Amino acid sequence: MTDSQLIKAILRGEAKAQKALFEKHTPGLFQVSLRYSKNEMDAEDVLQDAWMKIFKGLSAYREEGKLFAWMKKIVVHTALRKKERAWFKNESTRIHDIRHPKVDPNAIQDMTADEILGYVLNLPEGYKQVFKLFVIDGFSHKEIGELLNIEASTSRAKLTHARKWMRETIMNANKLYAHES
Amino acid sequence: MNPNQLENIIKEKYNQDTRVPNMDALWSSIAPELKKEKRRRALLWWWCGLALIIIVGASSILLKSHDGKIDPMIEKSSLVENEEKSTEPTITNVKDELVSTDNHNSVDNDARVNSEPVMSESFLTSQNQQVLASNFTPVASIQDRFFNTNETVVSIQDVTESVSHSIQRKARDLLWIENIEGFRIRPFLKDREALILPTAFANENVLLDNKSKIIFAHGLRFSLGYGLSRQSLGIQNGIGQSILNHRMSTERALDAIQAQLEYRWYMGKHWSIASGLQLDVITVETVHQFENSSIVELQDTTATVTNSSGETYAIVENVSAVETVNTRKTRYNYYTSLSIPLTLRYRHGFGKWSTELGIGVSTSIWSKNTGFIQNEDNSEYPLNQDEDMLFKSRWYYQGAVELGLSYKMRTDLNWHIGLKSQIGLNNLGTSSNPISQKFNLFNLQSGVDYRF
Repeated sequence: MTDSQLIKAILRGEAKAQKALFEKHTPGLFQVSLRYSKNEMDAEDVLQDAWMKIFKGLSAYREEGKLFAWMKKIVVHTALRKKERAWFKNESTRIHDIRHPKVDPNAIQDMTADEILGYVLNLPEGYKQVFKLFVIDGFSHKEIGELLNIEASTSRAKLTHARKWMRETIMNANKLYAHES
Repeated sequence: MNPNQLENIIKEKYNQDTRVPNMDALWSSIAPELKKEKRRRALLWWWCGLALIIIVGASSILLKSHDGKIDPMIEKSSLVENEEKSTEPTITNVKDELVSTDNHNSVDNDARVNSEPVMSESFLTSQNQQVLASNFTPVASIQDRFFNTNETVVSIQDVTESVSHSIQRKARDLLWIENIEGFRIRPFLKDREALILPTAFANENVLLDNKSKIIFAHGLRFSLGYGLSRQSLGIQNGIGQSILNHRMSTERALDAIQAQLEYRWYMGKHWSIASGLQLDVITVETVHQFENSSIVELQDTTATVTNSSGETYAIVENVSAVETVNTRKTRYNYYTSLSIPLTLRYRHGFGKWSTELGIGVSTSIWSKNTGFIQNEDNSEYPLNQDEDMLFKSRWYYQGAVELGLSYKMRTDLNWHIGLKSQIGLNNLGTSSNPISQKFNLFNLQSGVDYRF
């Protein structure tokens, strides 16, 4: 069944279609959720809230063919709001500092996802979200602006800084690697 | 390695993450919520249906209940009206009658005037002087004054009961001039009724100006909904202006509290239906000021009444005494209103700005409680249970058009400003005009919503 058929079935009130849509897209959305959550449990919570919003908002969905992008935006939005609420509650959402991995940049191809995450997660908080939203999830600066309540130009500037930061970090890691070896 | 390569690798690595959630556990926590949501949605439809039934039902009851019913106040205050119920004037026939009275030689007119039982009606002034009023002859300019003016006839809210009128009521007043029936500014000036009318009528500024009411309403607005960031908690201030066609009275709201609980159902990106409950508590100070701007000249037993422009508009014969009245009463009423609005809104966004257009209906139950009435010297006017209508409640029906503008300061903080125009019907009317009307020129509201 295509997404479009599933949506029509859901809007007709078919519960089975809801489950089918859930099973089809949950793995992909979970990856998105993970990127903006502090752990898997949090990511599942985010996904649960996001799916509720998706089902409620399906009647409003009009962009044929871009369902996953629409759902992804809801997941990211939910995760970011959850993070804000946690901040209000004074919960620590900081990811424990991960030391820069000492690896040969030439061997970056052999790095695991966690090692790559190490670099990304060490980005300053303000740059990290923009970097992930733009580079990993492919949102436009306008969309990032809406999600983070910043201007599109601010998003662009933050991305530039994030890229610079990444470059310098990897260069430093390279020097460290060369020195230690 | 260039930055793009690095980013591609990072993206690739992220995509290599194969962790999956516990699908069954996740679905088992979502499924019951979806069922609940379905029930909530059904409940909302019921709620909208119920609101519509109440509005339509109450309207039909109201219309039925006024069919042929005489407003008790009119009944009491208009002796001749009661006798003439069968020929109660309409706008048209009163106009016709007035036209006919222009011709003083009209046989019909003379016959009717001569047959009036109040021709010999006597009135007591405050000094207990007897005033005999007869042959109170209207002149043509009266007709012009009342029918060719810009005095609006749509904006009536009968707050004071005794001094607001529909055009039909006004027509009856004109008929009264012909009949010398008596005009009673109740409950304040019972003893002076015979003289108040020409005095008050002479003052065009008082009579023909639309009095306006400005209400500053401060309150909390609670807005609940669902969907993507649909829940919100807001605070708003409002300024409203109503055009009220009050004669000889001005009113202002001393304080007002407004609380609104709104459930909003979003149907797609643009459309939404809102319903809920709205509570308004307003204290209104109504000042009745009767000024004597007319000049009454008494020569022998003939009184000539001229208005402030020097126009002679009434000649009263067989007058033994003339008293002019300049008095002021202040009345304090407390209004409580519980409304059920039902509004359909269309929203269109332009970046962080969005506009919203709404059209809706609402029904309210208004209750009015007369607190106290002060005389000019600040002494308290004794209230009378029957005449002062110490407490009463009314249904009120309104249609509304809204235009709103909002700015998203943050995703969870929204500033909005809205303009709302309402036209409403209530059952505060008279027997000939059972439903009086209210027209709120605008109601400006501004505030912020926190969406959570």
